[in-house]
Amino acid sequence: MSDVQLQIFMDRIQQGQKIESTDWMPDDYRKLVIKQIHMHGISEVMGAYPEKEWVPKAPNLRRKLALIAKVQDEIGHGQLLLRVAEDAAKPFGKVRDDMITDLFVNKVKFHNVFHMEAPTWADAGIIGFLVDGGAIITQASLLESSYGPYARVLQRICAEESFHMQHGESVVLSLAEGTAEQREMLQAAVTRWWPSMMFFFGPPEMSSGAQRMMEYKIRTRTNEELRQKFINRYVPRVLSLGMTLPDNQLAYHAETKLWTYTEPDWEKFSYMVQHNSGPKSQARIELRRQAHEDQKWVRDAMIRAGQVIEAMA
Amino acid sequence: MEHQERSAHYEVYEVFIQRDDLSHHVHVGSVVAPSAKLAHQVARENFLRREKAVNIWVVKQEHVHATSYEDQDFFANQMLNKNYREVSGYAENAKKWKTFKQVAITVDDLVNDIKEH
Repeated sequence: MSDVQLQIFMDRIQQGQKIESTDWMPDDYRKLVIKQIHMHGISEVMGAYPEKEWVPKAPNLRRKLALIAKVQDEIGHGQLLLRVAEDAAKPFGKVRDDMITDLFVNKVKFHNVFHMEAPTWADAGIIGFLVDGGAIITQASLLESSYGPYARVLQRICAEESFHMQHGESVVLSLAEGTAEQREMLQAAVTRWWPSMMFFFGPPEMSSGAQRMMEYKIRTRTNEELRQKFINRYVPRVLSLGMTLPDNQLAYHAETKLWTYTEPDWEKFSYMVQHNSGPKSQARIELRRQAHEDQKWVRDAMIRAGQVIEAMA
Repeated sequence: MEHQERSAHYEVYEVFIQRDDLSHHVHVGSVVAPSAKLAHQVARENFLRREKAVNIWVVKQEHVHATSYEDQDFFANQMLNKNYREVSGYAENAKKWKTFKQVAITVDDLVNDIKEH
């Protein structure tokens, strides 16, 4: 790679041009794009697991149907994102199977929230309310990404997330206007998920990879900017339901227009994500591995059938 | 962890969806599938869980012949003033019609005349 080539590329980024998978790009850019979209795609897939646990136990048929639809959306988003990652990874010869199996050997991480337990129906609601809310804020910021295929696919994903958001709010609102027992269940779920949500956006001091993604405009907002937007939007909503948040530092400061909050245990959560050592990490990865391996014969048979059909044509 | 036997890889199909009979097919993304027939089904599940459509094309990615993003000169057609090709190049018509005590009309007015009957 010549310096001139790199300079032309960086000029394109500065001008707000979109980069396509077939364009020349520095290997560093390509690797960061693949890492980001791969992690995002796998997180969508793993995000289906905590909610799928509640499909058989949903309180009524409408909730069950909505939850099934949401789980299907998450898997669909995973497929769309992995497809985009595959096109980016074409020069490295990496395909779908590699993207999936990387999960089993800890070569790709997924969001901290999907390592956690969802022990009650209120957790299913809070995941839609807070986790999807946080995910939408992150994804909306990525609509400006310099990587064109990612920005395009996120338009569809964000549109479908709007249903997830309403679904989560609907479950939470029902519980909030319910019995004392239901409100207690909701409060317990809020308390359980809040520290995970503070970790969700990442540390204020961003990793070198995240900083390079900012330079390349693969992403354009800092972790702290996104977290502040989340807190600003969701704290008043949670409090308005008569719920409390497990953080006595939480306060808005008009002069800085920023919120103070108690930092989550960065080390504990980072270790969990790095080593898949959360309460549900291994169980959910194992379910994913079983699904992948048990269906291998179907995928292989499909390929053979496809070849036969083509040979006959 | 036991060694994974690597599966043969599915082909990539680009997906084009026609929303209604009077719309052209529009590219929406791509899928991997073992055959064109299954690509239709994967495309329906990926792109049409909510929206309506009347037709799907799937085209093997290798069969798409694209122009280059780098060679934007290929699309250069704005070198000369081309307002003689545009409605905006005929703004004075409205003023002139006024002197003849008529108002300007557009193609939409004629189209709407047809729709009225």
